[in-house]
Amino acid sequence: MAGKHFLSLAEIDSLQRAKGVMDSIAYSLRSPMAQLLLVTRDAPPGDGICVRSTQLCPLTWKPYSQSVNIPLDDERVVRNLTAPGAECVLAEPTRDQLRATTICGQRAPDGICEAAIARLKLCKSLYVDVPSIDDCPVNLECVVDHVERYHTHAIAFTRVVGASIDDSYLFKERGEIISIFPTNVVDDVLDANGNVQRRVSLLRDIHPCPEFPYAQKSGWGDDFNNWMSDLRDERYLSTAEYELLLAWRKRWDELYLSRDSSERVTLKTRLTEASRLIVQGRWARLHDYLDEFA
Amino acid sequence: MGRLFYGIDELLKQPSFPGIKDPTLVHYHFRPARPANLLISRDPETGDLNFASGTYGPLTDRPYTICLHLHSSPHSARNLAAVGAECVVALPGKDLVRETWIGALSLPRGIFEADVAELTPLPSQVVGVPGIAECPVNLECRVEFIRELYGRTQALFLRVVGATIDEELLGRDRLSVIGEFPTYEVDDATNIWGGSIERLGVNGELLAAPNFPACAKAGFNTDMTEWVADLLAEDYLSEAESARLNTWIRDLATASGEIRDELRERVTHALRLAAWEQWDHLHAHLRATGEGG
Repeated sequence: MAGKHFLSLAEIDSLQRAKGVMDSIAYSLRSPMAQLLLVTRDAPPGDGICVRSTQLCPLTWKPYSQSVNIPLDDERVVRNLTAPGAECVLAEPTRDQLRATTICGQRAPDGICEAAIARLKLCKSLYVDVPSIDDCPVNLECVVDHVERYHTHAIAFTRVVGASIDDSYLFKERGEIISIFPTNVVDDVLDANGNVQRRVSLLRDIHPCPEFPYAQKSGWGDDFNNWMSDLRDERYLSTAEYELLLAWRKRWDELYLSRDSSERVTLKTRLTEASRLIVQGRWARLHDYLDEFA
Repeated sequence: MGRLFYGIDELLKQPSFPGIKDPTLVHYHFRPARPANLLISRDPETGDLNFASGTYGPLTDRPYTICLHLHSSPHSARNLAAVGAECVVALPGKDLVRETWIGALSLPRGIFEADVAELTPLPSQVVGVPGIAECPVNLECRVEFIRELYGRTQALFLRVVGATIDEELLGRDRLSVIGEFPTYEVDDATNIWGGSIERLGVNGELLAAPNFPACAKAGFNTDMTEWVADLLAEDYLSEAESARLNTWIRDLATASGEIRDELRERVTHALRLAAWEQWDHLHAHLRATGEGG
C-alpha cells in the first residue's frame, strides 16, 4: 500500500497562494470539474446580458438540476441569480473555445456583454428568456430555484426546463464527444512571467463497469432480492441457495437494530462473504460456502 | 448546422433520432461527466459502516467545501441526515472501476460494501469513519448544511476537515495525476436485458488556456478594468489609450439612450480587439474613436 501524506484542516486552508493560485497538492485534492458558461440577464435597472465561466456541481436527474457557484463579490451575477423568477442558461464550451472561456472568466463593466468581447454568438432560447450561446454544442435552459449564500460563494440551484444541441454533434459517439467537450477546470498555474494561466482537461478513456451476473440485470439501483432472483433464473444459484440467501437477508433485516445479537454478527459475516464471492464470480467457492449451511 | 431543442420531458425520456441505435446516446450529450466518489459513512443507530459510490462537485476553495447529492432512501443519506455527521469522500482511481461499481450495488443495509469489494479501510485522523487505502485521495468531512431537493434528494454541503493523499503523487506532473484519478461517470450503456452498464471515464489530455495579454495577469474572476491596467503596465496600451478607454467605461455607467449604446459599442469593440490580441486594430480604434468623440 502506498505511503500516505496527511493534511490537517489548518494545512488544507493554507494551501492558497498569491493571485488565487494554490499549491500543487491542493489541486490534487480536487477533481477537475466541468467548465460551463453561465448566461444571465441583468436584473433591472440593468439592461444587458452577462456571461461567466463557472463550474457545475451535479444535483438530481429527475428533475434535472445542478448547482453553480458564484463568488459573492461578483455582484452582477449574484444580483441576476437572486432576482425574482431568475433564469439562466448553462452552455458547454468546447476545447476550441478556451480563449472565449477565459474572456468570460473576467467581469466586464455593467452593461457590457462578455460574449460580445469573446466573439460568441447569442441566440434565442426556447424555454427561458435568457439567450443561449449558438457556438456551444449544448445549452441547458434553466430556472433558478434557490440561491444559498455559503462561505465565499452564492450557490445557485438551477433546474433544467429545456435544452438545445448543435445537430452536428448528434451522431458522435461518446468517446469522441468527451474529447471535445466539456472541458474540466484542472488548476491555475503561474507562467514564466508570473501571470496566472488556467489549465483544463478532457476525458479520454472509457471503462465499462461490470454487469450481470456481477450486478443486477437492470444495472444499478435495483433490490438485492431481485439480483438473487436474476442469479437463480440464470442458474448461477440453485433454488435452495437462492432461498437460503433470502432467508439470511430477511432475518438480517429483523435483527438489524439488535446490535448485541450474536446471530446478527454471524449473519453479517455470511451475507458479506456470499456477496463477495458473487461479485468476484467465484461460483464454485460460493456453492461450497452455501453448502455448509444447507 | 442547426440546433435541436428539447423540452425537459423529452430530454428525460431519452430522445431518439433516426439512425441512432444507442437509446442513451443523445440523452447523455446533455449530461456532462461528473467526478465519481466513494462515500464512507456510519449508521448512527448501529455503528455499521456504509460504502456507496456517487458523484460530487466543488463548492468553495477556502474553506475547502464540496457538495454531495444523495437520494433520500439509500443508507448513506440516512447516515448523514444531521449537521455535524462525519464521512469520508474517497476519490477512486481508474484501477478501481469494479470496486466503484460494487459501491453502487443495493446490498442490505449494514453490509459494508468495501468489505465485499475487498478494499482496505484507512484509519482517519480527524473523523470517526475510515477512508479507503486503495484510493489516492481521502477527504475527511463534516456535514455543514443540508437542503432537501424536490422531495427525494438531499444536497449536502461538506467541510473538508482533513485529507490524505498518496505520497507518490506529490512530485508528479498534473497530467499524470489526473490520468490516474478521479474517474468520472460518463454515461450508461444498455445491456442485453435493457438494463444499464455504467461507464467511467478518466482524464487524458491537459490544455493551457490563453492568459495575459488575452486576460488580466491575475486570470479568472478579475474585473476587466484590472486587465486594462495590466495592458498599460506592460505597454500594450499607451497612457492616452488607457485613459480614453477608462473614461468610456466610467461614462458608460451613467450614460443613457443613444450615448450609452454608442459607448457600449466602443468599449465592447476595444476589449474585443484586446482579447483577441489585435493590437494594431485596437490602437486604430482608440485613436479614431477618440478623435471623433
